Amino acid sequence: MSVVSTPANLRIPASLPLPDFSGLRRLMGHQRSLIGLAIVLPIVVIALAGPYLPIADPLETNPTVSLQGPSLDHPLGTDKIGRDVLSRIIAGARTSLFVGFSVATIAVGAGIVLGTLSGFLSKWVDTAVMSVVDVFLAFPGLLLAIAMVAVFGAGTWQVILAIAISDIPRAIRLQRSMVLGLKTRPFIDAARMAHAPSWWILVRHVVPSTIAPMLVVASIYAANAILVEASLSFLGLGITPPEPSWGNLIKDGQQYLQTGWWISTFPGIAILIISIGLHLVSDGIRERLDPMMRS
Amino acid sequence: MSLLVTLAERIEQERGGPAFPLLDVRGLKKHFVSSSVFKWKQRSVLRAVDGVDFKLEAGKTLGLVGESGCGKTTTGRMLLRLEEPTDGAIMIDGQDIQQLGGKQLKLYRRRVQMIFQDPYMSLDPRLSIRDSVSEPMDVQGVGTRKDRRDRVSWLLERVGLSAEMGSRLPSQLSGGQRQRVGVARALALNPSIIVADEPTSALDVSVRAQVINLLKDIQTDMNLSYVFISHDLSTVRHISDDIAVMYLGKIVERGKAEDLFDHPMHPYTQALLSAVPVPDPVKEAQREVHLLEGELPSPSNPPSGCRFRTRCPLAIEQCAAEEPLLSVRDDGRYVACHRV
Amino acid sequence: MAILHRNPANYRPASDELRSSSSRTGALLSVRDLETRFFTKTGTVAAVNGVSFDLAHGERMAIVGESGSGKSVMSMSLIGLVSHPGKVTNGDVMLNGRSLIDMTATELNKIRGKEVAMVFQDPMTSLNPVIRVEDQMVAPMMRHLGLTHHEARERAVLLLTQVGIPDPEKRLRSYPHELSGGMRQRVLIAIALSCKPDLILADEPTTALDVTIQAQIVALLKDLAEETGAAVLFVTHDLGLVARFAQKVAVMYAGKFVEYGPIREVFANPQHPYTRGLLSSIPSIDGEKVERLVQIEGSPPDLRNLPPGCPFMPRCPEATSLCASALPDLTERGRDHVAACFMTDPTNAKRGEPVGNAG
Repeated sequence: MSVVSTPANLRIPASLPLPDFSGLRRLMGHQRSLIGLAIVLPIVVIALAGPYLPIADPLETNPTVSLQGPSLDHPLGTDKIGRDVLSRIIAGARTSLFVGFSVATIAVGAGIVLGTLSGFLSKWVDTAVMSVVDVFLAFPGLLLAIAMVAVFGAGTWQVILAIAISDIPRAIRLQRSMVLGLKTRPFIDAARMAHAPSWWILVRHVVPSTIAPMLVVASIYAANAILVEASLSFLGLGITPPEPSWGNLIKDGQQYLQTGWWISTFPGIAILIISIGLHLVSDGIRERLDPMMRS
Repeated sequence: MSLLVTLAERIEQERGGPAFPLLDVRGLKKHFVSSSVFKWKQRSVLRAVDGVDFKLEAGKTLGLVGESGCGKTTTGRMLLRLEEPTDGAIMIDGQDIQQLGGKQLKLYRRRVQMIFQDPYMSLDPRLSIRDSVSEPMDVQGVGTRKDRRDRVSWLLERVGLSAEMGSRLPSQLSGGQRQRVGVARALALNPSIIVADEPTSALDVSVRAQVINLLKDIQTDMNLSYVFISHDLSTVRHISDDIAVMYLGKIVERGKAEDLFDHPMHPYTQALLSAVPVPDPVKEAQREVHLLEGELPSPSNPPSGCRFRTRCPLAIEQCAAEEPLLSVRDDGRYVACHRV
Repeated sequence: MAILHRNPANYRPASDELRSSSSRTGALLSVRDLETRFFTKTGTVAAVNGVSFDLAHGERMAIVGESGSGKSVMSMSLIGLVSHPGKVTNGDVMLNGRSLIDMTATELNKIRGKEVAMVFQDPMTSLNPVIRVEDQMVAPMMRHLGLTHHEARERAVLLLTQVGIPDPEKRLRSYPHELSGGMRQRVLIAIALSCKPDLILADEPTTALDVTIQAQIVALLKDLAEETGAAVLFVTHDLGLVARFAQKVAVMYAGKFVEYGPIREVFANPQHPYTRGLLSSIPSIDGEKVERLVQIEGSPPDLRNLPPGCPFMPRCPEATSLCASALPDLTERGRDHVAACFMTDPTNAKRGEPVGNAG
């Protein structure tokens, strides 16, 4: 009995290397971004192709087919004034996705620039930037967005800026912390000892190492922005009709939840799907990054 | 290859010919002041390096030894102007390098380079080996792209790697190989002085000898001078011509390596040598080990007078009142001690 | 010194036989054919690949190796501290006649801290940074020795004095980060000794310390071990420390012992090319100064890609084609001195074609 193959007491529960589980885990790890992209890309393509697709005009009203459930003519049903829900969702996708990606781009762009400067330059620059950042971080995102819209009015660009204003400080914070960590690495000293100027060090060594983590965060910002935009539009503070967005589509269907549940539900599902897709993309990038960062 | 020789010559011409002594450090100090936005808050001063003098001649190695907090790494960094001295002069070929600015500083940087301790962090993990080794030349704009590429291949072979390794990433190399890359990079600009900061401490024991032998080989080939910073006394003894022992920011003893190891005079040097275990059980059993009492004092609050007095078996009243200065003894040995 | 069974790599006893043999020889610790494997995504790695040895009461043994040798994994395997994705897959560990492998987690918990104490490399991560020293010292004593808080505290003061910490009452109230590295390590040693262990496992306990502090700690450990009669298993990469501290040494490479014996034997007459290489590649602080150090080519092996035959073969100056095809066992070279090498074994008649590894 002394020569045993797997001592029972030393076995950690639920961590046996069963081939099935590890295979599945490996699949999920490597394919996560692919699955995410498989969700996000088709939606983007369909949204962009919207006007050219053989579906109903999102603005065309047809009272004769008001409040009809999903059918062959109208796969996702119609609303009170007979507009096709599916084509409205596709039209709304354009707006929502535009908002999402714009916010992500602006937030990450500002984050990289200001975060790098803050982390790399003198303490005074850092203190100045971070004080402003801390002020903005004190506000809850949605409230800040509502306040911005209240001041600057509703509309697509106003909404984009209102949402971005909460994400920019976070991106700056993240970038700054990465830069601070990289600044002390010996390979930076090695570049300095060759007489490399600061811009060389930033462009060649510092910023490239921070791009990938920022991509991870970018997809999350996009997913979050779509959700916040929907909330704002639902409250009437975001994108206003007749321009469709997923948020105001949900709002339109609010009164008809019992008679026409499809009007609100399908846009909601659309938001859910794109959020999952973007988060999977983000996870996938992070998975790929991990072994690289560890080495 | 004639192109490489031309390139090396050109670099040499620009920086000027050799002089004597090569490196002369006088009264070097580095004080770190803890800054605070609030003016009334007391600022504590960390005297990391507090008056260090030494000379280095062409083709020789100076070993700078000491334990943590002694200031040896900071001293090395000041030689590269990675840190700016608070006081004192660093003269290379008779010229104070702190006076240099702009183009002169750029040329100066070709004369002094560094090999870092950690082979894993001293190379940018995203750049190929070729790019890392070539970087000093890229920054300085030396030669054409082809010249630099050829020189990189030559450098890699010189340090015992194959030229085709240039296309690999650091993560694909072992610790010893990465350290060799660090050496190749340090040689890229054909320097006269290399500051090696604990170059073997992070390597496996079986690999250390490779790097040490390499450093010795290229020293004779290229007439390099080394400032070899280390806490590993056995290695320092093997590679150095002269030794300076540092304690809490000051040099306590300085002299020829062989003499110093055979007859250490300062009590700290004696304790240091005594503390290093020898891989020979017979000798170890016979040795008289002088153990130091107590802990290292905080560098921001060093003892008055002689900084070593709190742990010194020979300390007397004078040691607390008056700081001993480095004074010359027989055979060119310098010791800072009242009792010796 | 405990008598090692001939060819322990092939020795597979039944439990009763082992128990009676270890009590016959009076060994405190008996390890037979220990194997620990790591199941990773990139392959299975045998970090410990068949290790056997005995440790007598009060004996000081050193395990020497570099990265990939498996020395740290081995010391952790002895007391069940190997966690996912690693697992002890073979072998037996007998402590005072009881098998540690067969024990449940609860039983092991009782052993750890009491009969076996650990001193690890980095005192900052071994000590809980948010708990005062006093509480970290008192808790194990109350648990293992059944003392009251007051009694344990008094004993803690005594222990801190024993390990040379001035002003122990004040130190007890400190947090670990308020102490220097050397002092933290002394605290760890004090905790290790607090429950009167039979065996102390020290894994690179001085690597992170300054040279002069290291000397203090090693001397302290040696004195205390002698006073309390505890055996010490000292894992290190520093051959100098081995010479200063240990009575016998095992040289580990790629998960196996390649040489094992009393230190005077092994240092004076190394039988394995790796041991010889290590000894001649280290510059010495005194004695003859050499022009050029003898270097070992190559790097420590990647355990996922071990060549067939002897794992040291790619770096060995004595390697022949025989070494590439067969794995050498530990054979006797002197009094209680064994090594695993075909080429240096005087009783081995087989040779092969030399492989031209640079010396």
